[in-house]
Amino acid sequence: MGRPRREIYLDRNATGPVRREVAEAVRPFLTERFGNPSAPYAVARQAREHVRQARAQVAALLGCDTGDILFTGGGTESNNLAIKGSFLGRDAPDRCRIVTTTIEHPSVRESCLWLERHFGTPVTFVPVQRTGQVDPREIEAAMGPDVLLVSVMHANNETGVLQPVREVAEIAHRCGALFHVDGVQAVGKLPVNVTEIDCDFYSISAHKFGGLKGVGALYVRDRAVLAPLQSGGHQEGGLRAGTENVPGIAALGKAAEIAHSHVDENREKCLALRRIFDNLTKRIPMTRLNGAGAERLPNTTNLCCLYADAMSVVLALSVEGIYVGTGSACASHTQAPSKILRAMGLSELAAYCSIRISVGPELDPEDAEFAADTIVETVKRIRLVTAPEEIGTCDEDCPCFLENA
Amino acid sequence: MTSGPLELLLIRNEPPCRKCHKTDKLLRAIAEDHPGEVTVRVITAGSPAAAEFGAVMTPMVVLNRKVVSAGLVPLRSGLERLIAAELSARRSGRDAGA
Repeated sequence: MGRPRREIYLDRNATGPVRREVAEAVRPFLTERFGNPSAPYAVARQAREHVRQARAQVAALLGCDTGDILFTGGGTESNNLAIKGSFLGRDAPDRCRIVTTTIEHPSVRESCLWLERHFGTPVTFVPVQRTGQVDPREIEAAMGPDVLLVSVMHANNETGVLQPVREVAEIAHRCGALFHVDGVQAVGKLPVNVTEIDCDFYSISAHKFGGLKGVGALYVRDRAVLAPLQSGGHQEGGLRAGTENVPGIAALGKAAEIAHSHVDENREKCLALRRIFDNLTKRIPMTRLNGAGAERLPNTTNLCCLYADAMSVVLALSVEGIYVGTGSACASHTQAPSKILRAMGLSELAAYCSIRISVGPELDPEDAEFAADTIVETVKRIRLVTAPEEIGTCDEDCPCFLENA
Repeated sequence: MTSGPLELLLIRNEPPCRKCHKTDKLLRAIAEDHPGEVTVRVITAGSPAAAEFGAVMTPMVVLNRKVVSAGLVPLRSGLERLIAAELSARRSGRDAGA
């Protein structure tokens, strides 16, 4: 590994750099174009116009009308607003149950549990298959006339596994329920059209595709079904009180425009890079791909290198200037095994030995190859001090890897 | 050829937790088996020297600037094998690689 040290960032599902064009587009809003869009004078009108333009850019990315986009403070807030807001804004008191899955982001899971705790809202968590994908028939079996909302993510943040959102939309609507999709990981990596998905809400976060942190959006098909979660202002049609984050929104608009025009090209670049990391299952013994057999995001490889403790691998790679994830960024400071991998049936050992590699299209293929070689060496070294001397080989459904196989 | 003894670096909590204590004991036992060849240096996770390694999870063991374990007590047999490879590489003037 005799190579000059260069940082290689392989945790793009956690966040990514702000694109240069986006940073340039934002600069004027930090200095001369500082107006509050709610004020009546010229500088404010300018700010209002830029918010309007950003709304149109995000709508174009998602394939919906401009008026369906509501700006928020990020993906977590979008998910909170869709779930809590639709519950608080509901007309029929008997429709109060929420159906979701066991692999959702904490902002979805915790929003549902918050409603359960404070309002007694029943929540049904539908399990996923070994591939990490929810079976639409399981969603169907969980439905009933009391279901208010179904919430299923578009792509999983840890495994990249895509969920059958179109089928779920059809099932939810057939039962008269609303359908929310957490699209935070999918947008910018896949072409997304909310009209084709036929969902009622779709959450996005700017920093996942070249925008700033702390800003996001929620597609809302019918604003009448939502109640606001914060009071004190008329902004965003009364659904999100507070002065608009104009620089963040302008950045989101620019990032959306770029993502929209480059999505196919970026997808191809990421797929080529992903192959380098998927191929590690052939280079490292006793290594499996979490989410194998399901369609995945083009940029995500979640690897279980049995007996190589993931935290040791991640920190060892970090010293080499290579940054990978051990699970969702929000959870990687804890040593609890990933809830998502456990929900897919992985044993505790397998979950503790899984790393997430997620790339961006700007990654140099040579850097990807170098990182892959370093991962091979690192796993070999970590295994020496964390694995039994003979780790042997396991069958497909060995309990080392899968629980209750 | 690199001169001086091979250093086993332990980054631990202050006060040390149970795992840090066990790792410390293990590293010192290994060093005792290699007099003059292996030494142990202990630093705390909050020290400037630990900051060089970026993120830290204790106990963290570093050998020749490579992290070999983090957040757990390493297996003695594996550590012995890594040290043997390092010492052998030093004697022949090579890099032990993994």
